[in-house]
This record gives sequence, structure tokens and C-alpha cells, in this order.
Amino acid sequence: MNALNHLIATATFWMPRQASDVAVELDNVFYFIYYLSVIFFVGIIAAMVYFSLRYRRKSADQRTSPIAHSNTLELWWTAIPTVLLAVIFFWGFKAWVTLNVPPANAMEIQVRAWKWGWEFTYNTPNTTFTSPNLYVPEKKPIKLVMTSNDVLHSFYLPEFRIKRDVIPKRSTVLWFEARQATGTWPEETARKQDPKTGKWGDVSLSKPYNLFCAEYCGQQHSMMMRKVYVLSQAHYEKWVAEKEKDAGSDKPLDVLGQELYTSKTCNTCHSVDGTAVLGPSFKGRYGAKIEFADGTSGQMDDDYIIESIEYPNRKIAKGFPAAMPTFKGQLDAKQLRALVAYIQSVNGKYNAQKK
Amino acid sequence: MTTATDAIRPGGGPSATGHAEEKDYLNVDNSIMSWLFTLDHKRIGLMYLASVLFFFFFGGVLALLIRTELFTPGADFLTYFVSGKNAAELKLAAADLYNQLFTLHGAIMIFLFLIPSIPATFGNFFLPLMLGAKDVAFPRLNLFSFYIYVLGALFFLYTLASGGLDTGWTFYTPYSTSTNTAVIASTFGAFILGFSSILTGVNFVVTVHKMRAPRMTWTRIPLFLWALYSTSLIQILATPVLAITLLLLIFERALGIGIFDPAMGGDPVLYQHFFWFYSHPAVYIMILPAFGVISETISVHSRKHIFGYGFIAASSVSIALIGFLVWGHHMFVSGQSPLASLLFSMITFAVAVPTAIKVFSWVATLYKGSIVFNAPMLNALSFIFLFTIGGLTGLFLATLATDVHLHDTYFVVAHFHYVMVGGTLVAFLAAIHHWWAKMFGRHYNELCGRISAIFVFIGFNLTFFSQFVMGSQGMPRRYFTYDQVSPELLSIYTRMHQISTVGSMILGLALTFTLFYLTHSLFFGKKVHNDSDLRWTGESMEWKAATPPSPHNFHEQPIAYNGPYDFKEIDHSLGGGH
Ligand code: HEC
Ligand code: HEM
Ligand SMILES: [Cu+2]
Ligand SMILES: [Cu+2]
Repeated sequence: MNALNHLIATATFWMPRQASDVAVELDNVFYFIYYLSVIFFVGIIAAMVYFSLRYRRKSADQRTSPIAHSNTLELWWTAIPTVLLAVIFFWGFKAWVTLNVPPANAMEIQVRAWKWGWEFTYNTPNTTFTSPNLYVPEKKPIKLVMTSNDVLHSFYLPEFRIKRDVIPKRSTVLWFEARQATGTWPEETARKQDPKTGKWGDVSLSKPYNLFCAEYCGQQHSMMMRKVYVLSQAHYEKWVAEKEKDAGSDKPLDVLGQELYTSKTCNTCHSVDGTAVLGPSFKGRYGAKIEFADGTSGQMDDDYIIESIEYPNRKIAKGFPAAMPTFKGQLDAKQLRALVAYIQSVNGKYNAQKK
Repeated sequence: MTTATDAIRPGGGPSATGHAEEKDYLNVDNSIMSWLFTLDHKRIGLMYLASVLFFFFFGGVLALLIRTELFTPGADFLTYFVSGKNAAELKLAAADLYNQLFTLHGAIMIFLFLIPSIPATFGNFFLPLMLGAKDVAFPRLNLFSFYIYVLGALFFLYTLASGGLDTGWTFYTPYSTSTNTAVIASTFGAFILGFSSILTGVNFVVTVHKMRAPRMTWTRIPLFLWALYSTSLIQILATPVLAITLLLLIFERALGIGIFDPAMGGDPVLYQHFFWFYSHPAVYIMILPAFGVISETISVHSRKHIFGYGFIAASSVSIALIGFLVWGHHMFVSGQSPLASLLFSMITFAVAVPTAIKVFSWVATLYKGSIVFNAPMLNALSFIFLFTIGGLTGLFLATLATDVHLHDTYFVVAHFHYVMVGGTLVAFLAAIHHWWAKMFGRHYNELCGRISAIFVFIGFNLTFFSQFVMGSQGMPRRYFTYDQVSPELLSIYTRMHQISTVGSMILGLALTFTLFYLTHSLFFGKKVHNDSDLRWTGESMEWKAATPPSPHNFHEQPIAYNGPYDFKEIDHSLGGGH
């Protein structure tokens, strides 16, 4: 069984690995159309090449046939494609229905997309926690309820053959069920590529799958990639337990802030080592005088940081574009304090006692 | 009657000989003003030809920049064109540049090249000639359309200078209402261009209805004109919707009226319905004229009556009309209702049937013909090959289940390049070679023409077939980099992108070469002194005009005594006819 799984799970010339049973069904439709197309294409081109060579002009006054139409022929070549197209349509429709109806027992995960990142929210009986990558248990239907903070995005998992646009102020739904995971966690996330063979680990299924944004959303559209990890039930539970502990724990604020710094993608625009990326570095700014684009200036304090996060365009730091998206509504009060604490700590000004 | 290619002599209309001293439409007046204010449909056609070719090559250079960047997975080539304080800043600036490049490439190719390409150039030039008319019905309107086109095009170029549009040619909301690039200027440009398209459409429809030569019944109209007629119908019916859509977009941005803004009770997906309601029919604006060209070239260069005239003509019109009912196939994953998706998928398959039959009919036309492999014919055969792939891959996209995977990947990019470049552009090349001598009174170099056709074919397939593979492997479109994907996909994507980039260079060189020898032939090509110098002629009326045609096309009103495909070589004793 495992060996068989492994076999179908490998990629072909046309298609990436199959991460779910639905993928198998969709690939069957794909290959059905593909082989029909090949047959028709070869037939058409063979006839074209044969006629062109056979009836090549050999003498200037070569006579040609007066045939201008043929009812029988035209009837057949209308009827046959019509029937075949109907078959393709129906099969495609059938497979698509499966794709659209999430099973009632599916486990729900909230998905939020923004320029330019993803966040997955898990509601467990004990608590709520988030993750920047998608972790799912094997062989369990997962239902994603998705929305966007800003523009359109599209949630695309090529190995699962599923895609759905993510729309601001609306929710769209997508579901899938991953096949057996043969990898282990957390070792598998740390697994390295073998430099000689280019192979990943020993079992192909344990590799993470790709998550793309498929709907153009601006500057970093192509960098909006994340990973999907399929875990065995036991490992999944272990992962959830750990996340729950994190969420509930009184983790130091600056550590929490550091996590948010990466999971909320602040790191794509702000460094902590003093180099400017798209926005100013967090280092060396806290407590310092900040010049604004409109000629005024101010000091970076806690309020200014929070204002910058929620209303980035109120005060634009001089020499930088007004390119920061707003994070209003995405961070609760504790998380805001955590980010402030992290920026303080980067500048050596964080005092854990003070709170 | 010496060699095979030289031998086809024209029917020799009364105007063909004996007027050696007479002025043709080109040398009748050489002043700049006589061009700028000309009402002659032929000169207007040539002014369009020069303009669309200019934009085509401009768009082509942008495409080569895009392809060069994609040769490597990371941010490389384009970082040399931007400035930034460090690697991260360079990368993001290059990403912005990339997004502007693909937007401009797409918008220029669609709005400035493909939509006007065949109708505005060869349509303008040959529609009156093929009808046996002196000009189009409204010559002043025709000139006006040209200037509207120029104005719209200038607006488009203005977006270049004013900080780069980055929405993609589709202008999807809410991105297009929130980006701070020149959306208003460019949509206004497209809005203006739409009027040019509508007016040309009206002109053609009226001309076909009112100005046919005596005895030219509807069944004696060349198929190229049936194609133009259907195209014109779409231009008239669909373009106003584009105009409204773009106006709404402008209002939305400038006044914040909120139709597409969910915060104000609007619907961001509504925009897509508006947009594709125009833009799907628009793909037929781009391809139907190409179908017409192929019908003409295939029959002339195999000296055979086109197979299934009635069906091809009827299918053009029916494709044009059913084409209005399939727009939702661009939105299967957009969250539109499943019932809508179901119907759109079904109707899309319904359009595929007449399209398939056209291809069968062209191939059947070759049967027992007298086929010669000159440049127009090689391009026409290449069209059949490429368009068939384009059409067949449309089936994967029309199928609900497979489109979910393929939508917004390079598979779609490859599909529409097979139909629009492999289809429309290659048909454009077939047309330009087919009618070159008639239009300019000079011959292009036949060997160069064949070499070009072959290298365009090779370069094209390398460029775009590889995109099918990477697309079905998941490579999303409009991606500046692809270095973050998992290693096994990375190796496939990289290899396919590299093949594609090399192919695009070959294609670029082949097209530049074509431009070069065609331009060269305008000045140094062998002159056509009278019609017997032509390497081939057809039976449709444009061949009965002088070469190049005189300013008013015909000296005497020609009469359609026979159909456009009744070639002398057809041997009626062979039987099997009607
Ligand atoms: C898309 C890039 C981008 C992202 C992502 C981003 N920022 Fe910014 N940020 C900027 C830019 C550009 C500026 C400077 C212009 C301005 O003041 O709005 C800025 C300014 C700031 C400032 C003011 C800094 C100063 O020195 O004046 C703070 C504080 C800040 N960002 C915090 C954050 C935090 C916290 C996050 C993550 C939750 C974040 N930013 C995410 C681009 C970004
Ligand atoms: C048998 C014929 C055809 C079928 C069944 C077909 C089907 C489709 C479908 C379903 C899509 C949407 C794919 C997606 O976005 O997921 C599509 C995209 C497209 N097709 Fe076709 N097509 C056909 C012929 C043509 C022709 C003749 C043209 C133009 C000359 C054309 C141009 C396009 C373009 C431009 C797009 C993509 C637009 C975009 O997203 O930017 N197609 N086609
Ligand atoms: Cu995106
Ligand atoms: Cu379409």
C-alpha cells in the first residue's frame, strides 16, 4: 500500500505529485482530454502534411478537384466531436462537484491573505492560535474558510490541484483531504536536500507541499509562497499541543514580538540590523528623532509605533515610500504591545519588569 | 509558364494592362499632407499597418525583457535597470518594474496590436477591393477612426512616462482601484481606442451591406469578408460594454462611488463579469479575421474551392454570437455560483464545435489541390498546426475540474499565445506575404519569406510549448521570481523557463528578419509591371484591380460573374462536386 502510494505520488511530465485522492480523479480527466487531443492533433496534422505533399504542385497547370463540400463528411465531423466534448464536459463536471462540496465532518481552518502573506487560524476547544504555514493531519477532510484583508488573492495548492480566489470582505471556501503522510515531525521540517542526488529525505511524501498565490496582487505576488505540511494524526496532535501551549503561555513579550515580526511579514520590509530595506530598520530608531516627509518631525515612542502599524500613512518617514500596508484589525492589543517590546529590545531598550 | 510557382496567371481584368503610365494610389501624390488627410481606405490601411507594427515591435521588446528575467529563478536581469540601496530594495524595485513590463506588454499587444491588427490594416485595404467597391461607405469616418486610434495609443504611452501601470491588462479590482499607478490615464486610453474599434466596425458592416459589386450575392462574398463582418458585429455590440466598464473603473477611483468596493456595499467580483463580457468576445475580434485570412490563403495556394463555404461563413457569425455567452469561463475559481460555472462550461464547449469544423474544412481544402509551399502558404499551414494546439488546450480550460488546477498558471499563458500569436500573428504574416505584391507593386524575396516562416514556427513552439509543461506543473502566471518553490518543481520550472527564453530569442530574431526583408523589398524588391508579373492571383475581386491599385480601385465597376474560389485549375470533369 505504501509502495503504491509512493508510486502514484511521484510527478509525471505534465503533473506534479498527487497529494490527495481528488488529485488522482482530476488527473484522470486531464489525461482523458490529453489523449483525445493527441489523437485529434496527430490526425489533423497527418492529413495536412499528407495532402500537402501528395498534392504538391508538380506542374503549373495541375488540375484540382471540384469538391466544395460533402454533407456526409460534415455531418460526421460535427457529430463525433460533439459527442466527445459532451463526455469531457460531464466528466469534468462530475469531478468538480466533489471538489466543491466539503464533507460535513471536515475540520475548519481560517485562512487570511494580505499583501503579501498568509495566516492560518486554528480554533481548538482550548484556545485559538495561528500559524504562517499550513499544517494538516493526513486523511482528514480539511475545510478552509478564506478571506482577504486588501485585494484579491488566490489560494493555490498545485499538488492538491485546488485553487480558489480569496476576496476582501467575503469568504470563500475550499476543502481537501491529504493522503497518508509518511514523514515524521518535526524532523521532516528540518530535513535537508541531499546535495548529490537533489532528493529530499527518503520518502517523497514527507516533503512539504507548495502554496502559491495565483491571483496577481502587486509587488510581492510571486513571493507570497508558503508551505503545506501533512502530518500523521499523532504528530499533528503533538504540534497542536505545542502551539496551544505557546498561545496560552506567558511568553515574554519581546519573544512574542519577534515571532510576529516574521509571521506578520514585517521582516520583508524592516530589518533589525540597521540596513534599510523598503522601510526603515527598527534598529537605531527607537527613542530617536524621526523626520517625516512633510517636513515635521517627532520622536519614536510606543504610541508612534502603534500608530505606524495601524495608520501607516499618517506619518511617512522621510526618505521612504508610503508603501506600508495597514495592520489595523489584524493585531490585538497584546500583539501590538509585543511588537513595541520587540522594537525596544532590538534597540536594547526593553525592560521586561516594566511591562 | 515555366516554373511551378510562377505559372499562375491572372484572369486579366480590363484594368490589368494598358495603363502603364497611370498613377496608382501610392504615387498619385507624395506630399505628407496627402497621407495625413487621405480618405483613401488603402492609405489609411497602410497608416494602420505602420502603427500596429510599431506597437508590435515595442511590445515584443518588452516581452524579451520579461523572458530574460525569467531565465533564472531569482531576481537578476531587471535589477540592473533599477536603483536601490541594498539587495532587498533592488529586488523589490525590480519586481515593480517586472509588473509594469508584463502589464504594458499585454496591454499594448491586445489593445494596440491584436484588436486592430488584421481588420484595420488588411481589412481596410481589401474590404472595398474584395467587394468591388471604390472605398468604404464612410471614408471620413474611417480617417477619424485612425486618428482616434492614434490618440488612444498616445494616452497609453503616456502611462509609460507617468510612472508605470502595474495592474495587468485585465485591470482587476480592487487592486486597480488601490494601486497608485496610472490607471485612469491608461483606462481612458483604452476607452478612446474602443471608439476607433466601434466606428471601424460600423463602417465595415454598412460597406458590406451597401457596396457589393453587382451580382455579388451573400454567397459570393469571400470568407475573409464574412470574417470581418462577424468581427465588426462583435466590435459594435461588445465594445460599448468595455467603455462602460472602464468608465465605472475611472469613477470608482476618482470619485469612490463604491460599485466594486465591498466596504461600500459593492462587489469586487462584479468587475470581472463586466470585463470578460467584453474581453471574451474580444478574443474573437482577434481571431475571426485570422480565420478569414487562412480561408483565402489556403484556397488560393492550393487552387481549390474552399471546402464547406457555407459552414465556414455561418460558423463565423455563430461563433461571434455564442461567444457572448461564455465569459464566465474565466471565472470558475472566482467564487461565482456553481450553476453559472456549469452553464458557462457547457456553452464554451458548444463554441468549440464550429471552431473544430473550420480546421477540418481547411485541411479538406488541401485534398486534391495544387499546393505550393510559398511564404503565405507555409504560414497558413503553420497556423493550422499552432491554432489546433491552441484550440485543443482550450478544452482543458473549459473543463471545470481541470481549469481549477490550470487557471492563472502558465498553461493559460501558453493557451492564449498559441491562439493569439500562433493564430492571429501567424495569419497576419500569411496575409502580409499573400497580398504584399498587390499592395506595393513589389515582390518580397521568396526564400527569405520561407526561412522566416520556418524560424517563426520553431521559435514560437520552443517559447510557448514549454509554458504548457510548467503551467500544468503549477507555475503561476505574472510571477517575477520562482526561487521559493520546492526543489523538484524548481528544477522543472527553471528548465522550462530557459527553453522558453531561448525560443523567444529565436522568435524575436525571425520577426526582426521579416521586418527587415519586407522593408527592403519596398525599395529594392522586384517590380510588378503588370499583373502577369504576379507570382499568384486569386479569383476574388482584389486581384482584378491594378497592381498596385489605382486611387479609386477600379476603372470600371467589376461584376461578380463567379464566386471567389472558382479557380481556372479546377477540373469539373473530375466530379464529386455539388
Ligand atoms: C510592504 C512593506 C512593509 C511591511 C510588510 C511593513 N512595513 Fe512598516 N513601514 C514600511 C515603510 C515603507 C515605512 C516607512 C514609511 C512610513 O512611515 O509609512 C514603514 C514604517 C514603519 C514604522 C515607522 C518606522 C520609522 O522609523 O519611522 C514602524 C514602527 C513600522 N513600519 C512597523 C511595522 C511593523 C510592526 C510591521 C509588521 C506588522 C510592518 N511595519 C510591516 C513598510 C512596511
Ligand atoms: C476552442 C476554442 C477555445 C476554448 C475552448 C477556449 C477556452 C478558454 C478558457 C476556458 C479560458 C480561461 C482559462 C482560465 O483563465 O482559467 C481561456 C483563456 C483565454 N483564451 Fe481561450 N479558448 C479558445 C480559443 C481562444 C481563442 C481563439 C483566443 C484568441 C484569439 C483565445 C484567447 C484567450 C485568452 C486571451 C485567454 C486568457 C485571458 C487572460 O486571462 O488574460 N482563446 N480560453
Ligand atoms: Cu498574489
Ligand atoms: Cu474566454
